[in-house]
Amino acid sequence: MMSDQTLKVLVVDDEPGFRNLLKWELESLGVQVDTAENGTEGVRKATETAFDVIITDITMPEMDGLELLEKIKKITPETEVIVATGFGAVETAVHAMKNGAYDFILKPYDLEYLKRKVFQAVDRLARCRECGRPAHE
Amino acid sequence: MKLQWKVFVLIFLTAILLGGPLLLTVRQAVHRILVEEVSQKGVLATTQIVDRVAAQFQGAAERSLLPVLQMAQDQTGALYVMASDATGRVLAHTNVAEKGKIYSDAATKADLRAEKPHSHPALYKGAQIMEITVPVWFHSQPAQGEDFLLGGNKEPSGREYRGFVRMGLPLAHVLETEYRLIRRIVAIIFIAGGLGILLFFFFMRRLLLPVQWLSTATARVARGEYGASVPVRTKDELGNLAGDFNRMSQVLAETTVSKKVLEESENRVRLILDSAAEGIYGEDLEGNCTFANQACARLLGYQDPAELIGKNMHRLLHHTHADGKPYAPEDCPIIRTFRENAQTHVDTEVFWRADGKSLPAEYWSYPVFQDGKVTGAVVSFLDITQRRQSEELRAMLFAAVEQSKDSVVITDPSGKIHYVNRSFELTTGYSREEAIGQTPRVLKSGKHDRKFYEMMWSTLTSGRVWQSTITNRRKDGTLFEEEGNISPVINESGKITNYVAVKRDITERRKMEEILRQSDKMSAVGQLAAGVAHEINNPLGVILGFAQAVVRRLQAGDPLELPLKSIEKEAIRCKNLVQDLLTFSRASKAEREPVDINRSVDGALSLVMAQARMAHIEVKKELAPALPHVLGNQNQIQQIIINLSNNAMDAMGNNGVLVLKTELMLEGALSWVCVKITDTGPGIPAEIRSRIFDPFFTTKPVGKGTGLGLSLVHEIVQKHSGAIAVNSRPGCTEFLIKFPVRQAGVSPTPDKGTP
Repeated sequence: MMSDQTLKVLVVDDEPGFRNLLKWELESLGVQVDTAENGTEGVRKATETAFDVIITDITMPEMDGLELLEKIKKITPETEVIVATGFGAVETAVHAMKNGAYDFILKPYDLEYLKRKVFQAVDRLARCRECGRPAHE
Repeated sequence: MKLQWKVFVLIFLTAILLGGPLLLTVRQAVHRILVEEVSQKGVLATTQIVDRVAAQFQGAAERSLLPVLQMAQDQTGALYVMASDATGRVLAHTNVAEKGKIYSDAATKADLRAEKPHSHPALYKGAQIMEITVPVWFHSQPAQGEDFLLGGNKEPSGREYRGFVRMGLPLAHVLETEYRLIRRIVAIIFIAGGLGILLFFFFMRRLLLPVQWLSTATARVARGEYGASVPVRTKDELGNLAGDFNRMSQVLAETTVSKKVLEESENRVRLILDSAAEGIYGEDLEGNCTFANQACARLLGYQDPAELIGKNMHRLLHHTHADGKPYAPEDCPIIRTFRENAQTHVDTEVFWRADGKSLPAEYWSYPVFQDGKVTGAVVSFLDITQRRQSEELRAMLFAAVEQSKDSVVITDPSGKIHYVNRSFELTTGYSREEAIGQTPRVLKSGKHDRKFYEMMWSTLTSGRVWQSTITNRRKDGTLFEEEGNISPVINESGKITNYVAVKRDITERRKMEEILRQSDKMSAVGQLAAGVAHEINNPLGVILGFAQAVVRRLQAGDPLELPLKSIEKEAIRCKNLVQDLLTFSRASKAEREPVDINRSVDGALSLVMAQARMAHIEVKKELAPALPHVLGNQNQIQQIIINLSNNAMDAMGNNGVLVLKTELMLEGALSWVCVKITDTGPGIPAEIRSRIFDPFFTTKPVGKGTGLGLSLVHEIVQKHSGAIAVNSRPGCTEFLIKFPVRQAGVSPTPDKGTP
């Protein structure tokens, strides 16, 4: 599942603790991780760099995860977005899925689960690139 | 006009009618007699003159005539005497101035033709006179002297008319005599008349006196003074009349006095009837009113008892029962009174008034006998509106006290129980028969000291109300708490006659207060939990994430293994706590769906089986088939079962039996699905039983429980409108949860939990 190309992941979360945790964990797997503390910064960074996967919190100041998802899907439609929702925010998750999120995970992050989801996303991305189809239909 | 005046006028008129003509006749007769006398006297005197002078009636014979005439005048008192020849020429006249005159007046002419002496009244120089004229005849034969004296009845052929002699005799004397006579007669008449009138009135008065007496007496009789009598003075018709009157009056007095007495007695009876407060009326055999008193008319709304007379009383005032059903006459006790000769007393019926309103009445009806036969009935009745109202009021008060939810005890001043109501029986377990005659001391629990009762009695005996909460003992020995007051009942003279205790068993209320307190605690915890969990969740997530990430990278024998693993373990503990808190705060927000409780039990069991197996705990499942679904949240219900099962297994440690049982429970119209979770652990000590649902209360060792498990169970059950109960003794602890089954149209509790 690891390609010669380095995976690029953007973690968007207003909690520095979570940004650091995810960056530290994913980088230990050899993933290139950039972070942003809100949606606005996330969109800016996503326009500069094409990320394979963006993991974003939903509840954030300035621009929330759902808005970010919407914008990312316009800029780089092939980038997979995994949204992280708080406990019980099922409605929000459903909304996100309908707007093109790859999957949703519950906060606080279960790192093993998160990693699985990231690599599943990357896998699908790779498969789609091979067969030349858009990342999601 | 009085009778005597009538008689007087009658007599007076009769006297005038009789006396007037009589007087006139007498006067005329007297007049004629007197004039006749004068006339005869004159004729005699004149004839004597004629006899003496007849021979001288030739030529101028005055000289011989006049002395004769004058003599005759003197003898008779005549006013004049004259002699006339056959032509009316005065031959001689006592008044010499008249000599030679020839009279040709009507009287003279008549005289000239008269053959016999005659007289007639005349006036001479203003005085009434009687003129007497005697013709003078001259007889040619000598033997004729006798005839001459007789007035000359001889044939004129044998004699010669030579003139006449006339004498005027005054009538003044005659007239005066006549006048005097008349005057005397009139005087006599007047004197006699005056006396007669006096006598008349005197006698009339005497005559009419008995009539007056009769009149007065008759008036007295007319006024009702029978027996009035008049004196009988005479034996005439009036006397007889008076006698007859007296007898009649006597008879009247004897016969009519009894009628008066009858009237008086009738009046007295009427007075008694009319002054009676009861309505009284009589009926004949037709049921028609024969009499009615004032009260009867007044009570029935009529102006006058006379309005009732002749009316059919059943149709008028007894036609309908109080409940509006028609009242058949044959059922009427009043009519049966005279039909069946049975007296009656009824106080449950109504009479109908003139204005259409009903009058609650108590009545007595008695048959009336006349000559041994029933002729009707007499009914007397009373208006018992007030009595019935007070009876109703009394019944109402009794029912109110009897059915009061509060227990009511009435004692006499010594404390002896005279009355207890139904609530008292239900609350204390003592029946009325057991309680009456006892004192409230039978309820004494021993929880209050002597001072408490002394205070109570001193308050009561001083006439004040004692208000308190008191713990008493039921007949079965259990204690219960009562709240209420005891009040003295004070009579008009200020003496305490009774004590009334009105008390409420507040055991249930205490329970409710407990539940409310619990609920308040839960609510406070819920709000706190939501805030705290939200804030802790993120930092804890970071800590746990790093801890787990680091722990996974540990090599065997790493000296940091213990601290790092400790960090992870404690962080997981914190996470569970936060999760519980979040669950807690969201319990009310959970979505509801029909839940099969059996499935929830199965699901929960699959999660706890692993632990049970490890602890060698036997798990028994007793699920009732075909349970109705309850409306709730599957996850939350599972959570409850898991929590309770975990608690049970924690309590039992190693070895034990865990029983999960479901069943349908019916309570009246409500049905519940129950879950019973029973363990064989040591039980929950009674001291902490009331606190087990408190948040953060735990008996587990540090790190094993959050203290929120049972609180969460409590909260979830509450939100599901369910109930939870605990029964615990050493070796058996049972948690019973029940959820209402919602069927069509049946809502056991308000639907507060459904979003």
